[in-house]
Amino acid sequence: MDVLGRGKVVATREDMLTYEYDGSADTASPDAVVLPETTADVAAVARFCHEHGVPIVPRGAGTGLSGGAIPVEGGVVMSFARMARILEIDVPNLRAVVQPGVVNLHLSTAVAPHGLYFVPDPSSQKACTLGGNVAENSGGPHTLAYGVTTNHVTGLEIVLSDGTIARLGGKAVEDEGYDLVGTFVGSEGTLGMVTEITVKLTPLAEDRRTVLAAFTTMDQASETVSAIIASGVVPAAIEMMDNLSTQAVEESVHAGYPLDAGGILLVEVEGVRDGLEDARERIEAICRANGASSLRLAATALEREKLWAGRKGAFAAMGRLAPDYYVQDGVIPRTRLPEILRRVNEAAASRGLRIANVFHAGDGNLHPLIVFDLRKEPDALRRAQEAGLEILAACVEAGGSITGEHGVGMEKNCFMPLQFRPDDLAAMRRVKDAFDPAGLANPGKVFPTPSRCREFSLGAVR
Amino acid sequence: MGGLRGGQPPSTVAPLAFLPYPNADAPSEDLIARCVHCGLCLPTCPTFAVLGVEMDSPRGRIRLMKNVWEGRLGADAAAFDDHMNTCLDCRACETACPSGVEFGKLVEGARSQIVAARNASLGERVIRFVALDALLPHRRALAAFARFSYLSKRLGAGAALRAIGTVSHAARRLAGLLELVPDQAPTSEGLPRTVAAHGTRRARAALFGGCVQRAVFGATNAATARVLARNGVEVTVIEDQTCCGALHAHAGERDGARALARRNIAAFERAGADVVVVNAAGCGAALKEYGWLLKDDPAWHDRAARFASTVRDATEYLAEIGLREKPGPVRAKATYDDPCHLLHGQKVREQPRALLAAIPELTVVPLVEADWCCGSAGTYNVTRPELSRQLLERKVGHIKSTGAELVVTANPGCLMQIQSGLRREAPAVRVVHLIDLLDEAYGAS
Amino acid sequence: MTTRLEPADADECARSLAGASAERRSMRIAGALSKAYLGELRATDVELRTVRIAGVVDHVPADLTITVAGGTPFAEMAAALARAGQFLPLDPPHADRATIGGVIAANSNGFWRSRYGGVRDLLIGTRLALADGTLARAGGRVVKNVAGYDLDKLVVGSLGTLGVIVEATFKVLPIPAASAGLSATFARAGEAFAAADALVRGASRQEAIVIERRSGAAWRLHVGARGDRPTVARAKSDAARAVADLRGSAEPADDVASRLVALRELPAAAIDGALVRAALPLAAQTAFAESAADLDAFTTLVADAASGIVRVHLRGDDDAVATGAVALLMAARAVGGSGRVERRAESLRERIGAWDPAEPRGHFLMKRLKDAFDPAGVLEPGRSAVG
Repeated sequence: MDVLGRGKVVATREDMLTYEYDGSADTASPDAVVLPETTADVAAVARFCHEHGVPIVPRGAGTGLSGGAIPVEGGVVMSFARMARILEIDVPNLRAVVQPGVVNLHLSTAVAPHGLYFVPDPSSQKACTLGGNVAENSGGPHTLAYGVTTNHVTGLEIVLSDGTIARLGGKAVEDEGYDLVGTFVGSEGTLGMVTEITVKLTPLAEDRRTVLAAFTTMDQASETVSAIIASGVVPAAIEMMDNLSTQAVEESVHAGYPLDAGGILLVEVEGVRDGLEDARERIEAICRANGASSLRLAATALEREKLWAGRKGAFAAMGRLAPDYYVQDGVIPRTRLPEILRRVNEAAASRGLRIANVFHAGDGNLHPLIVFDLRKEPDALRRAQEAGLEILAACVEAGGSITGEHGVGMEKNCFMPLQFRPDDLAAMRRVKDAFDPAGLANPGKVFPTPSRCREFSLGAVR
Repeated sequence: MGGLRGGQPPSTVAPLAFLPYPNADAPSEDLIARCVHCGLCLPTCPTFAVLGVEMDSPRGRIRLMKNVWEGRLGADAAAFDDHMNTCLDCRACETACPSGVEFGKLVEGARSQIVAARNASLGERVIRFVALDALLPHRRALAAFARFSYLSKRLGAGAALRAIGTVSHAARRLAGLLELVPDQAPTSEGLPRTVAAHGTRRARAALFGGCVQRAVFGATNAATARVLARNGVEVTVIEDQTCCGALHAHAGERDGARALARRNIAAFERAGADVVVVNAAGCGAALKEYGWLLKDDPAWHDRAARFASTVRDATEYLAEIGLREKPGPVRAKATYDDPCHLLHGQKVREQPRALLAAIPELTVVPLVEADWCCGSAGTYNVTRPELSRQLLERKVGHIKSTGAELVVTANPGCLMQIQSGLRREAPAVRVVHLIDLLDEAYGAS
Repeated sequence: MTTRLEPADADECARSLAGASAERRSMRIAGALSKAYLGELRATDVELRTVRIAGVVDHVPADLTITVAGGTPFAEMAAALARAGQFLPLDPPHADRATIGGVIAANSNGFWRSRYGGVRDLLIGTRLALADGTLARAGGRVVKNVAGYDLDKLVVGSLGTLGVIVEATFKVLPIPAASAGLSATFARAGEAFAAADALVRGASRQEAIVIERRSGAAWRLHVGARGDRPTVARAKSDAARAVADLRGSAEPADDVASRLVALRELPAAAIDGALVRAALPLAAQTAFAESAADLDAFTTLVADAASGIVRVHLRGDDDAVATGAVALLMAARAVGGSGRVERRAESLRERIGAWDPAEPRGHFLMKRLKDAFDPAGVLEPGRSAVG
């Protein structure tokens, strides 16, 4: 309390109840919550915590889906809600400098008058913060063509867990020495806190075409994705939804999503006007050849917005199906989509669980959402986690990854050995030790922890 | 933070350490269950934007409501009261929520439990009684209060009260109330009982007069009747109607709200009109929710739901039936500010804009954060003056940057609040109810 | 005496590293030695060449990814991809000789970076042989992956100081159907860079936007585009308009592609004097280029104007070259960028260092990382900017 002053600390038991959760299924109680307003505040708290051996857990908007902002080992939750200023919009250099609490979409809105935007567009972009995006290396539907957060960050100011402030990179595309910016992005708060971010701004596309294709089965939709990727057209986004997701989404946005389709694809191409019609025709031809039952082109900007509002609000709309959901984020090589999707659905069905699929098909980034009501089925979360483990094992077996954009967090740290051998993890540990030798930066995340991971018997699925 | 020690296990709270909610108006567990804590509501919440703390966000408040159900927090806890009542009840979070969480119902439910669980302080009970029981339901008392306020303001009582306010909290609150009294003298001249439709009658509407609306904005009611009549609607004014109960419901006084609702339902049933038209967004939202308000009253629930289904905001209704007579020109630059209870509470967004677009020569420029609360929020400017002031300043700033001479809105609370903000910052800008503007436009044709 | 090692596979490579660490024998890490001029070369006890750790490991064309061994020649991988109608959208210098591992370790980018991303953006997985003899994987074979730390980024540009890249996976693309190009001359640097800037901000996504200046000649802009026919036609007309708007004179465009290759190979050609390479904020390029062209030793400037990478070749009197190089490094730093002397003649090695004497941002963390990965300090000691 003395470190920052009363107004920047939340320390009553009642108030701290609201810092036990994020967008994921996990919870844990903090010992205190701090609300720094400057880099100096962040450093002061870090020094204090370092001196007293207290963990620090950074928190952006708390929209994360892997429990990254949850204080699983207690300690101080550091909310960046009050460091939310856009410090500079540098149009000549195509850069913006922002504080970590700036909401992703607010940045794109602020630079839109200059014909620019910030590319990564996580589905939570209306709420999630850029600090969180940096921590998680967030993606989004439109990263298929333009890359994820790490491809759009050139500079950082960070505060290490001992309070040291460091500036990394800048406005140029690279800096001398090791790529510390690239190393830090996606480290989930386990290497330190980010207090300032320099991002690339990208010129807005001149025009776009958004096609909604409906298929009788998910298999047909998956085959279509592979065919589009192989054709040489590089869409800005290819998103897939199954019937259950479509139901929830349509109820939420009334965008005209077909409710009778087994699977739908949302395919978008963008760029200069010239060539867009060609690209659209090629995509529609591929959809038809793969059995599309209907094709609809978004005729107006409003129609397109509604379709995307539906897709981007899909996770959040799961509350219409059931109070609780558990989402996975595995990635597979795109050619394995039909086969792995079947295994995903079997993993849920065999455990009596309802599953909705809504995901970035163009990247092979699956998002199976297992929905349940813990009030009625108290053991559903356990069954969902079992199904999740089986799904991730299948992804890794297919040559993929356990997480494409949500991060490992405390939700999948026990699953890391599925994808990485001890030597791989030991190499990562060297990086951790170089930045955070005391182990106080968001402990209990990314790396498997002996206490929590003992119960997971990975041998059974390997 | 001084007492923190490293390696301390997370604090745990014994289950059911507190008794759950006192009665059936409690925030519904099923409604709470719709929240998947995704956080999409956060940036749309004005109190979160200003305060930056999770417990003053919609998601945090829902969490606290859930924690009460789980027995981890008492419904009488001071913190619970604070965060539930710091909420503006503007319902912007409802518009943002993909899962369709009905936050207004939740927070009003929570407030009812706070009222039920806690003996309010004597001072608070007096204010509640004066405001909710003595003034609002009684037209004449309110009209008298309005005239007194107007006079006090003319006589400089506001400044005197503000000076006293440096020592007295109650006086400061009263001074705040005075700020809100509009510049025009109150007009509550009674309307004729029936205003005949011009030309062929398209429908019969019963006008909901409101209480504040009737006392302070009687002219707007008359204008509403004229505009409806011009467009072929016969308007009836029902004498025995009363306050809609919105402020009671917002304050957690659900029994009071229900008593008023029953009186209104009965009165309007007797009138037998096709629609009930209301020109105050806050009242409209409350009337449309009578079914929910009386959900546990078997004798009234169906009647309430039927009544609610006939309620239309005046702008909504006019856009629905279409303007039969073209308004005359208004040469001005205007901007429209959405009343929260019209936009978020009733999902009426395009209709008022369509009506504005129908006025020839009126230039309408978009207002940044038009969907954002102005800080009026019922009695919020009295209960949370500092936050209310910050939101008002934000609103006024956006209005000034539009360069508009006219700010159009559709709710008396918003109108008074914005007017009080502009009085200091931009006295030349006029704030007007959309229906009054339409009425003027017709007058000019 | 330098011992030469050419391990046959990743395991043998890892064992060699462990051996060197244990015996504290310093080690040069090399592929084809095409960029042996980079950094502060010191004599080492061992020279480890990756050339036998070679070949395509996995290529599923429909997944648009390829995995190759670290010592695979870049050209060999390109040929394998071309057979499937695909390409790695990266045009590094020395593409005829360089190995994949070397391209990554040297962060060797060409002119396509703004359009497709650089090495760091295209690389999605690596396998590293580390100084303790272990083999560590990072990333994977899928295009999107945030599991664990991004060691791929750490190793890009590390010049062999953290470990040996024994395997790498890249995102690849189908070869575009059409291409076009345009060259133009301008009287002033400002006009050439303004034309480039208009294209960077424009809707057309050009493949290369390069500015060239030779001593005594005009400022020249070269623009290359690839894609489907309509977009390429549009890119070309946009480029022509940008040139006209800034009073440039368009030149016959037949050989733009081969001109771009020649410019890309400037590091290979600049065997005398000093070649300074700067990474700059985009808007700082004009002033930097103008100052460079005014130097006594100035001969050639080549700028990837879409990415802010500017190379300046200085020749002539050693004093003039050394003074000019130092001035350019200071100028790069002053505008918020960074610079290095990418290549210099033997005679200049003592006079000018490869790195800006000012430490790079976050240097203390780089030191800690170096110590964590190579505690014995045997891998390319002193070669990189980390020291």
